[in-house]
Amino acid sequence: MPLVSRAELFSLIALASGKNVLLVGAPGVGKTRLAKQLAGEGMPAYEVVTCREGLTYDRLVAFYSAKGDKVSLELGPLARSVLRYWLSIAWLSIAPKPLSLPGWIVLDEVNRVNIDVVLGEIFTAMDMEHRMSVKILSEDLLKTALDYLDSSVEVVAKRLGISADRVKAVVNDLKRFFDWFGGVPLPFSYRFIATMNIYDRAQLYRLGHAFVRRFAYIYMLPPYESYSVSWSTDQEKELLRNEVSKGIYAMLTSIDSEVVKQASRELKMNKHVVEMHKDMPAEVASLLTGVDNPTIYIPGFVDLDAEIPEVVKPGSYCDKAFKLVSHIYGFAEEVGVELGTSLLVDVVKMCVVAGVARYGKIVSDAELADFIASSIVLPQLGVIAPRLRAEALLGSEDLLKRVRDMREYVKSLLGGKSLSYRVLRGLVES
Amino acid sequence: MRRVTDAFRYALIAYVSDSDVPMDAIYQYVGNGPVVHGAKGLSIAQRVDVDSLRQHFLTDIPLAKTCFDFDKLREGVIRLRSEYVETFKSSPTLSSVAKFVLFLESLHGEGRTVAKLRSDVAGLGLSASVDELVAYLALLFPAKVRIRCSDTDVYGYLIQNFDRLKSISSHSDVAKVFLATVSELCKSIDEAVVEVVPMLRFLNVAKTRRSTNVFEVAIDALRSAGVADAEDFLLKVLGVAVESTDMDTTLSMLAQYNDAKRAIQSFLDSLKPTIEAYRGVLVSCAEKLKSLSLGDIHTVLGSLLILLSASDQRFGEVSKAFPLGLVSRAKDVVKDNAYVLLLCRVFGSSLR
Repeated sequence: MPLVSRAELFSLIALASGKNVLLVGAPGVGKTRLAKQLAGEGMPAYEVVTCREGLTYDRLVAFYSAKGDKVSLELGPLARSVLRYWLSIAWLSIAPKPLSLPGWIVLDEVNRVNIDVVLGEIFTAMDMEHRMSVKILSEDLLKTALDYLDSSVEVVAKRLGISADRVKAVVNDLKRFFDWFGGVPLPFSYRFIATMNIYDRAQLYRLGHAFVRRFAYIYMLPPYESYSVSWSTDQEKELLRNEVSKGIYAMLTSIDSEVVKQASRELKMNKHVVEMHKDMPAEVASLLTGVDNPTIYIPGFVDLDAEIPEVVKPGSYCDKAFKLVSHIYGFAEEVGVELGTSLLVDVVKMCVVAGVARYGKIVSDAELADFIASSIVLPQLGVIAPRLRAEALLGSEDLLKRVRDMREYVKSLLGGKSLSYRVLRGLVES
Repeated sequence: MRRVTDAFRYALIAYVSDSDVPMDAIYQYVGNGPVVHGAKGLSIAQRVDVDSLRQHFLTDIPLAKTCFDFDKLREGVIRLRSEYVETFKSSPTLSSVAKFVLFLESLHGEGRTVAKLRSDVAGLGLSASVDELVAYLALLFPAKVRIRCSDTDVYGYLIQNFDRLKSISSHSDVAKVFLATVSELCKSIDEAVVEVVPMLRFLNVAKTRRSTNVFEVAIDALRSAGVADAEDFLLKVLGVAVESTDMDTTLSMLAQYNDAKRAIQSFLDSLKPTIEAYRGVLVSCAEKLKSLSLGDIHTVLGSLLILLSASDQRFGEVSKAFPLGLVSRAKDVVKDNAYVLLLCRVFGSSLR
């Protein structure tokens, strides 16, 4: 196995663009190992939750626990992780020490629970646009949260390798922030890493829409399968074949389109929030505009405004991705699926970050196109899976034929060892 | 009288250089007739407040020093004063600028303590910050301003503005004056053995400023040895040093640049703590880069090390000593290879 797998490279670009990551594959392909690496194993906010039947939203966030005749309110692993994360970045914001990713939460084996129910109320908070308007912990849980902050100082300091006194110094700043906010929000730089065992590819299409939309789907191959992507220039001509595809492509390659503007806004959402809330305590504003950056790995000296026009234009590194995504939108329209604009915003964000990170030196433009299509757009076609099954029961194969044609087209464009082809194969098999 | 004219003209050029008055007009205005030019010159000076002068000092000290040819000014103003000062004093047109010129002239004549200087500056009734002006005067006239260990506000100001001073001083004038001041201070400290925290911080900066020479000397040595792009080469050497624990391996890169070896060794010695602090992370990063079969990873590693140490408070003093050109090059290299930040999990926003 190469030291840096494609799955890792793709996950990193998804995380840097603001997406959460869902690692999918057969048991034993290294999903949990990669998830732990990405989530910063050993860091203060790192938590692993192995999903099992009976896991609920409350168990993840806050729940009442009975011990003997006493009942107490306890914070779940997500709430604890987020609070320790805030504590870590509050410290890092006043004493920058690079390479200290504070850690995130791993939701291992999400296939074992109804993840839509478990994460339900957190989905909105995951959206970059809503991070500072939705509370992970509400006001009535604030006292418990603040007590937990106090009790976490030692462990955070120990894991960051600094003196506890230095961490204590920022606790009061955070308390003022949470008081001002009236609860605890999800930091812009916080991510969820999930893993899912699949025994057949069709499983992906049984995940809820809300979940799939907020995670980048990274397919990890079994060791006996290889990954490669080609690009057929003959087939490329067909990518923008209908008006919808052309319209989407125009949107993705125009700096003035609402999609691009929204992507740009979300990549700098921390700064927008500070501008909007003039009454925000100064130390909070400094925290949000400093360490808690939506584009976690991209350094402060990179000027996104200058970089975006270089990516968002025909012929750029992302051009193949833009065309492929546009094609899938055209296909979706033909089969009666409305994919919405939020996916396009995610596509642009991912492209901008890949461009800024100069991913072109390590990932080809065809690979990027394959990755973006397979990780954030194609999984959305799962909404037609029930229709495919219904039609099959009625003895009709019209829709299935269209999907098969699409699969074959993708195969001839990207090759049979591409991720997009494999993901579409799962839809056909469903 | 011609020399008086020259001296005062120099002063006026400096005063109004931030204003909209064209130079030619000034020359024309103050160049005709000794008496007329004095009065008219002051009238121009009236329109320019001392803040402009202060800004001038802040933004381009070498130029200000050129304009203020102080020896000439001194001579000129002495004459000017002897001839006109009584008139000036009684004149309602006497501006704060003229007062300041006379004050500067008097500073040449006698040394004074910071306390006395502060009291004199305060007496001028200027709108400028007294502390700031005193600090600058101390910087510009180290031989005349007797700084004591207890004058912490002067050190404080100089420390806070060190970066700015460094960045505006492409010439060596300020650095020379600064170091002369510092060596005076060091002497004082040695004699007094006073452990004043701001003073120690100041000395650290001073030492760092000296160590700047280590980096600059290394770059100069490489240039003298015929290396076309010395900064790039230095970053590459640093990358090799990060990956190798053996100095000989690193220095073997310099086989054909024997004359530069010693300079590079000093450069690496000064960065030893930062190299050690990041070696573990960067070596694992290097392995990842190698597994992707990327080209020259050493320049990337060296650049990353420079930026990481510049963002880490532990190495604040060292990082202040990095030549701006080297930091700027390191930024460019990292920007052009920013995937390295993802692969090495650099929590990006901490890099400024």
